[in-house]
Amino acid sequence: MSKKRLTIVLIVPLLLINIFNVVFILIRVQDTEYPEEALRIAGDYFLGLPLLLLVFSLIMILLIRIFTRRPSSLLYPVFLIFILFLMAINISLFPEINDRFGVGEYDFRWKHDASLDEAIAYSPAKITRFLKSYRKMNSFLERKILIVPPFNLLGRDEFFKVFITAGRWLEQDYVFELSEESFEKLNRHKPKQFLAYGKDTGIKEYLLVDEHPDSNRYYLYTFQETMILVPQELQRELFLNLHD
Amino acid sequence: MINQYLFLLFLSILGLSFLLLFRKHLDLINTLLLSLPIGLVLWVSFFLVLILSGLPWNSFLIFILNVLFFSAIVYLNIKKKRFSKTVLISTLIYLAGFSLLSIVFLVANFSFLSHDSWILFTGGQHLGLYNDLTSGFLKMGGLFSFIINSSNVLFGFDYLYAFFPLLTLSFILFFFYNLYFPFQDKEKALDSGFFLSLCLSLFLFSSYFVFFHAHYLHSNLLFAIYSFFAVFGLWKRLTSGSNTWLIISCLTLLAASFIRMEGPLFALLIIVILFSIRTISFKEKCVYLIGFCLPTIIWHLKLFFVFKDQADNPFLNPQRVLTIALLYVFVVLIFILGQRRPLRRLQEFLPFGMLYVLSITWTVLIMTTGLKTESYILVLKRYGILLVNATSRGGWGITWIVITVLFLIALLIKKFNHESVFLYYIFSFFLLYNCLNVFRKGWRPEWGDSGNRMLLHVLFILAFYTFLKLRSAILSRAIEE
Repeated sequence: MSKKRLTIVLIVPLLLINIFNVVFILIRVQDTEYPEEALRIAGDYFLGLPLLLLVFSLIMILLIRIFTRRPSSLLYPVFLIFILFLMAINISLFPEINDRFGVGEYDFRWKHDASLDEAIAYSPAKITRFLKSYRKMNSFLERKILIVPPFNLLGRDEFFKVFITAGRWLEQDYVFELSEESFEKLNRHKPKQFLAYGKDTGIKEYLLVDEHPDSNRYYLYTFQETMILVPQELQRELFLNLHD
Repeated sequence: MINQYLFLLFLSILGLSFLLLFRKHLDLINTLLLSLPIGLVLWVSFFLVLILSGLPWNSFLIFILNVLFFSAIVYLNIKKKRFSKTVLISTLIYLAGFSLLSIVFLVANFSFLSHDSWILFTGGQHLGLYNDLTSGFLKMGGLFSFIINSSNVLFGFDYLYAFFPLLTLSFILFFFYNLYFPFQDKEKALDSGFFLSLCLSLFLFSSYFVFFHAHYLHSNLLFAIYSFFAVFGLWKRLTSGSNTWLIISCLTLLAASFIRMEGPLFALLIIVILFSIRTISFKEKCVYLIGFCLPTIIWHLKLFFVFKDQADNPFLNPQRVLTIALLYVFVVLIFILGQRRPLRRLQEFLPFGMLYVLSITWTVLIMTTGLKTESYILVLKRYGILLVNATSRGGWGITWIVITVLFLIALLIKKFNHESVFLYYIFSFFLLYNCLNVFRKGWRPEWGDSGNRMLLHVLFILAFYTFLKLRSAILSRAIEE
């Protein structure tokens, strides 16, 4: 058997297995104990797929025709313009540009609160003033861990500059950022569930380590308004818990 | 700021001096463009040398090690007469440009940290401060990112942020240059390919997701770039015949496998492809394997002893670490046994074997989970979200739609030499990716979803293969006419 034929013989079953896998995933949508939920998910996530495939196919047919047509001296400039056009579409979908022209929807826009600008200047004195204003949200754990509000309340540059600088200046080892959800939660009400770190060690203040509803991650919630003191060995435990 | 600049400059000079040793087989532009990434790999390997010899990772020992290493390569370069006038002038121009851009990126700081990536930063700091591997951060990410993020503690700057845009820029230029001159001298006549190669390269970086990752302090872009170098190096070794590319491939593969926890699994795909290539001799494969497998096995065994009493981690626990070490011992054994005459003929079909194993594993996984309705709903959701992220919510713009269409077209175009290296990797990557997706727990219909970020890992390889084929087809047609 020639090498080419052998390759084809090997590729065909491979393709069939994988086509079966995709078809299996899609066919099971109707054949489930929860068809409504499966259909809803399929509707939410896969509805655009046939349309997308149709667009794929149309573009493909068009391009293949261009490739096979003779004479095709126009191919090079046409392709160049085509790529430039695609690039322009991609750039137009940048969130900042997107915001301005209102195309599409993105989840990761950076919010910037201009009123905070003045508070954010990078000298230790100004940082102290800034941190004081956020004292309620910040906890200094034996001058080792600094908990900071969510970055998107500050803007990305400020988050880094302020807190990394502050962290270094205050000789912090770690800088933890609160999630936006936990920040809001903290402002609204005191959490009902909490892990009583240090119950046995006589520490009166608590930290809450809670699970993020979407991503199975743990976030740190500060419980009280005042400074929280955690002994060295608990810091380690806390660090490990955050990793888990 | 000046400390960070000096650190970056040092990395670049370190990589450059090392690559100049292979100047005979590596053109100057590639040498210059690879200097930063290779410098970083050498830097990380210093860490491995120190830690695995039981020495601490501190600035004094790093300084001693660097002086010794640097003196040795400079001596060898002088002995081999590598510092020609052209090399010196080009190096000076490159370093001037590098310095200018470093300053720009140091001043204009657009760096970004998220919940997913803060551990890389804090873990790096912890490593730099205490030299402590036991505090748990190693269970959350690859070693590579922690080592680079420990540099701020060692050299006294705030945090390493200018590195990412510099690396991205080096990579864009490397991508463009090698798309323009893929086969070195053979296609120098195709001058008209300049704009096409440039536009195709820029298209890749016109998506917000890639642009964003140039400033995002995470491991995905690093993994994507280093795995690209590993696959590209292997392909380039086959087309150019130069073993220098094999060394580059080995070093960058080692880096990629240390960048992310799943790195060793994806590195295995490239190792299998290497096994199957008959034009690479047994001796060359041995050197590659020793260079890659030995540090991987030793490091994972060390991790096993570090994590021995911490079995409860959902990501990297002692069992998984030991499995990876044993997997690579097994790979070495397979390689040695595979040299026997009856088995040697089968080597060529190893990538097909790998594709079959991955496809069947995927089938088994979705069948077993698919039979239980609740698990099936989860699987459906995971794949659905991947699709949604790739096409609309993941920040890719139209990148994946365009690349997919162009890739399908490229498959129909006349083959180029040794293109199977790219194809085997691309297909096996997606199959392994699908298998891993069955297991993963968290998912989000937005850019930060780990499945979405993992798409970046294969994008550059996929795009290079696709663009190279399209470019060749378009230009050959243009020349014919």
